[in-house]
Amino acid sequence: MTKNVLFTTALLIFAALIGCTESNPITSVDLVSPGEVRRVVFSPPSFDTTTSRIKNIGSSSQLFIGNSDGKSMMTLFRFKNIPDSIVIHDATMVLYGMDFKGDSGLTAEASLHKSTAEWEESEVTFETFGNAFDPVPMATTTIVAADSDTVRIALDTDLVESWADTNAANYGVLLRAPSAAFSKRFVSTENTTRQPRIEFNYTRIGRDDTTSASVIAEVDVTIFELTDQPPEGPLYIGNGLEHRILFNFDISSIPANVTINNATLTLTIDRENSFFYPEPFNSTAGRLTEESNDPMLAAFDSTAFTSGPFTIVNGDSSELKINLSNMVQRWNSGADPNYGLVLISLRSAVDFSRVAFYSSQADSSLRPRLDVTYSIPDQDQ
Amino acid sequence: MQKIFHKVLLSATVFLVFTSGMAANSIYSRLGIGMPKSYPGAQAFALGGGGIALINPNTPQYLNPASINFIGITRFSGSFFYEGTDVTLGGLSGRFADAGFNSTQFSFPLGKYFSLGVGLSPYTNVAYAFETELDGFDSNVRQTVSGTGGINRLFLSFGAQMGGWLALGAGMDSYIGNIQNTWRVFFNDEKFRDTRNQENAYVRGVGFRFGAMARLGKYINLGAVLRLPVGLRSDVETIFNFSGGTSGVQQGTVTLPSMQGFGVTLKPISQLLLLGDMIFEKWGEVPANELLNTTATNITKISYGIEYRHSTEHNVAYLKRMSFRAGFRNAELPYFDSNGNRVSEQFITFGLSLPYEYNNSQVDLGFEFGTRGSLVDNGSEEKVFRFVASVGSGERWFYRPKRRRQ
Repeated sequence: MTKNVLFTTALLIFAALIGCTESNPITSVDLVSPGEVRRVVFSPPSFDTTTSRIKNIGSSSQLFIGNSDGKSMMTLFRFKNIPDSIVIHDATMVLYGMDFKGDSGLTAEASLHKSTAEWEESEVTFETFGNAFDPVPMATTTIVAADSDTVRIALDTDLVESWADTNAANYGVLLRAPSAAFSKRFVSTENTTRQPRIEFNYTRIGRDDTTSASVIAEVDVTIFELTDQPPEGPLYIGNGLEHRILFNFDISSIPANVTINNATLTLTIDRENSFFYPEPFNSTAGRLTEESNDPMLAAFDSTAFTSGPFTIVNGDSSELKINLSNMVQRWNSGADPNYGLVLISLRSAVDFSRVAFYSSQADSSLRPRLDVTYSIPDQDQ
Repeated sequence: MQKIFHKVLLSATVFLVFTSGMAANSIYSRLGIGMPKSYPGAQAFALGGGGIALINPNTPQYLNPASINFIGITRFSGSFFYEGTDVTLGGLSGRFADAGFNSTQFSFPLGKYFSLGVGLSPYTNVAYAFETELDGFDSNVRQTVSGTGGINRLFLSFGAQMGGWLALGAGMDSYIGNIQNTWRVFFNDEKFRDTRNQENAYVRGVGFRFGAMARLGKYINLGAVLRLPVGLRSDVETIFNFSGGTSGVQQGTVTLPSMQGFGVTLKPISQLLLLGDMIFEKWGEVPANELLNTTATNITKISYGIEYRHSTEHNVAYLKRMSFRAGFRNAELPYFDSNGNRVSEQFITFGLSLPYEYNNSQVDLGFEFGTRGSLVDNGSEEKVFRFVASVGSGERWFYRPKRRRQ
């Protein structure tokens, strides 16, 4: 009895004491030096450059006519599925406007030409198409620098009837406005509604009644002639005339065996040399997998993009900040060699927007900079 | 049935202590291999921590391997502890509390002259936590440094009687432990990756110690112990908080220095026991790179104790069967404080034994109060309260022949 009481009492006391274990950390600055958190700024980059190339934008949901930002834009259309064995009385090409770039209210003459060479929607550019069109216009119309209007152009009925013959060559038509002081956007066939179409009235051979019909364009694509290059100096990412940027920062001064807490690349936007559409401009950054000086030719790991996309909204911020923490950590730990990174647009085949950033040649407060915060253990300092 | 209940409770207690969490205990446990926890046994604990020459047939102490020679039957014991520490560090203060398993030992007489013992006890303990805030950031950034773990000692002792007055002992100690020091920085900003550097030091090795106890007549016992220097193998690796982040395993050595100890007990009358011990450990001879990058110093521990027990008979009043103890201990830590000064500690101890089962078993309670460091010399002071409870009993699984029984 005695020993059981003693034993049980001891167990209960101990169980109570177990519950009293606690640890209130000492708040001390000087007693311990586990390590240090450091911040370092790398600016300017050890290397930065930008290059461009003409891009086919056949997959875009937009079409462009006119002149903006050093580009003379024109659009190719091809229509098929015209019924055969019919007599077309009249035909009108209908385009649905979205918006414009330039001064409001301006007008310009747009002319429609017969294309004289074959072209592919996914490949054609102004360089490959050249001037392969009949210089004598089939029709003309007036376009206005306004939003959401509808443009109608009368078409040659014989030409439209010829598109019914699937064995005959069908090179489509080209719409251009070389003298316009603005550019206009239209809906393309990539959309599900309001695509470019031909509306026509016809009579089937052997019958008397007249029927109305419309045929949506089979394919359409905007091509552009570069009339003026963007100014040299800034770094660009852009669409249509695709621009990319390549950076390299020498981070070898960061010791090994450190934790990269944050690495942020900050780029200051040069609004004067940028060209925005209302839609946000989305970009991302990729790590180069081999040495290169040309961002267009550089091989990069597309699966290792940093978190993104990084969005610039027209009229919004004046800087683009990109979190490169994981990328810099892998460079520093030696998991990946530091060949730099490339900054690209995620909408290079959509429109003609362009973002300009100040380069390493700019004023020190505007240059690209890489802010790195890292933690270094005491024994590695 | 009662014996089974007894043993089940003991097992439950041991299980409970193993499942309990370890909390913090001393700011000095961040140094080297942690705070030394040389535990001499609950009886000796209450006698100022001494007992190199202490003979107790019911409770062999842990200091001297020769002490197992005086048991008559199989003896086993287990103990647990509670420790509370109030820390003052400059103008800052904190409180740590810790509880858990302390030790266990089984000893067996082998024939007339030999004995065997095996046991487990902590050798060092690492348990600390510090926290500071970092300036210069937009968000609230704080860093913490914490440590856990320690080294445990699994010991195997062998004893031999030579004549009726001299006992010798030898022990093989297996040291094994993991010491983990973690540095964390919390940025409280989703754009920042928090830092977590976790250094793991896995330590293991074997050492040897020897002891002797001499009965010089009826009143005086002498004892001596010697531990040879121990070279432990260490594997240290730091794990970082990023994919594949590791410093790699760095192999090295942790050295435990030699230890020499001497003790004496006096029994001027049968009810009274006086005790004195002195222990020397040459931590100063261990290079810093063999002590996890910590510079250490030689230490000396001095213990005094007194015990009173009215009667050893089991048929007298219970109060007369109990033992009452008190003691004093003065020692130094093997480490220096942050200013390079030595750190000393002074403790007073007291305790008692509660015998049962015809004095064949007992519960030993020990208490210790003291201070570690001083605000003047070290800039910090720790007020420590420690409680140890031990349960010891015996069974006739092995026993000595009658004329050798105690």
